[in-house]
Amino acid sequence: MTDQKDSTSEISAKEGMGLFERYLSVWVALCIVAGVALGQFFPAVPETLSQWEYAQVSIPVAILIWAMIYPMMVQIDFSAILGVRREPKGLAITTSVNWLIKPFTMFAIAWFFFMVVYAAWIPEDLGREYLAGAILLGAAPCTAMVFVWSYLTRGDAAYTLVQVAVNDIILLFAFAPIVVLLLGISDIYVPWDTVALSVLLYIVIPFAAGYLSRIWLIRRKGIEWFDNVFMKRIGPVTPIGLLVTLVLLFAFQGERILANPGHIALIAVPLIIQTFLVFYIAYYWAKAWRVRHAVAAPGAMIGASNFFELAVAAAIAMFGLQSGAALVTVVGVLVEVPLMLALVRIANRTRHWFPTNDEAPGT
Amino acid sequence: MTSVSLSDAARDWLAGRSAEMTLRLSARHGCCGGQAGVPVAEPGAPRSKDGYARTQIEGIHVYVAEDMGPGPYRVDLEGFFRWRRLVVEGEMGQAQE
Repeated sequence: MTDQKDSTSEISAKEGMGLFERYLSVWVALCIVAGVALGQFFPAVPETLSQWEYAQVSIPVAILIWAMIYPMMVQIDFSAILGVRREPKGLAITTSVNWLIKPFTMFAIAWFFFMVVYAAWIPEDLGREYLAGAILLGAAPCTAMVFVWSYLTRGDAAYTLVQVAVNDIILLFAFAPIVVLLLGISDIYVPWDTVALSVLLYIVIPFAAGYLSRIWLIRRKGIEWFDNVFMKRIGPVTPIGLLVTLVLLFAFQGERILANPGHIALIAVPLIIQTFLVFYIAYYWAKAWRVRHAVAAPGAMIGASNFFELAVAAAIAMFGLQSGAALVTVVGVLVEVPLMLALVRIANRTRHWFPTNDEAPGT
Repeated sequence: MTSVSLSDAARDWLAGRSAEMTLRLSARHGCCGGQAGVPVAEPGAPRSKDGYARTQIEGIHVYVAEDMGPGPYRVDLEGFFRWRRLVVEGEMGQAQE
């Protein structure tokens, strides 16, 4: 057998990401401008949309959020959980970092910046709203983009599938308690029924719908049709839904953005620090345990990246479209791709730190 | 030519079925766009054999999708009792648009 690439070759971002995703930050920025303009020049549009509610849930927002989340849920192969005994060190590192470290470092860094460093520029009440958004981001690890990051770092496909399945099952049970605990510590009160409703609407229902429809479609049409036809049609819906949601969200956020345009840059700082910190914690841990690079790199990427659609959805459901929490989750989307591509480059340049596949069996 | 090998457990499990296996890339979409092709293996032949190259490995007829890279890919078996599945060790590929 011959290896397909030598150990130093790199996959360029162009190979794994098209023009749309490589310049996602640009499209997000344009959506912010378009949303603010919509709210300022056509205020009747957001006002009318905000009236379409049922049980205090905005119907247009709910539809957009399901459009974002369902395609990601339907592609999760939960049978991959059978491989949970594979790469035990890699799984232990990533699961610990995602659920025992990441939410708490996010909380600590965000609290330090929003409540202490920025105290002179951001009022305390608004600072708490921003903190709430950061908490939601920290409790939602990446579930889909990690496949792209894993590909770009030549990650192990089987490990990535298992880790995503494990994460999503934990997410079902851990997201709400972690969020409630950290919001409570921050003196941010959200009624339990509001949290429960957001988890039901934006995690449990898309999760169940994705799982059941995946099984039904595969039984009826076959796995190849599911992958090659169904997912090809539905996969691109998520980023489109995300951008339309951002336009709508910023139609409601216009006044805040125009009054405090610098807040977007202020919010980005703790999010960037958190991303690098979480990456390096997982990456150095993997290095110390001599985990092979094909597991260490995607493992560190999963923690560093976030499940933005869920964070945006939860922020809107718990705090509203006009909230500072929703703004923070969007800034997360704004900085995501350039940051993660920087981490991909770091991971590819430090490949030699790790044992090769042949040198590190059973990691 | 894609390099494919089977573990003993995978070969024995496939032999007890149809002695056929399909190896292909399964596209996974990123939430912010982009996609990657995850190598997957399933027992049986593909519904349409167009776009597949057929080869024989240790008595198993293997259909390999033509968009897969040269590999190497190693197919193993995981799980227990009746909950078993094939797993592919190897790098991801670029999913076809």
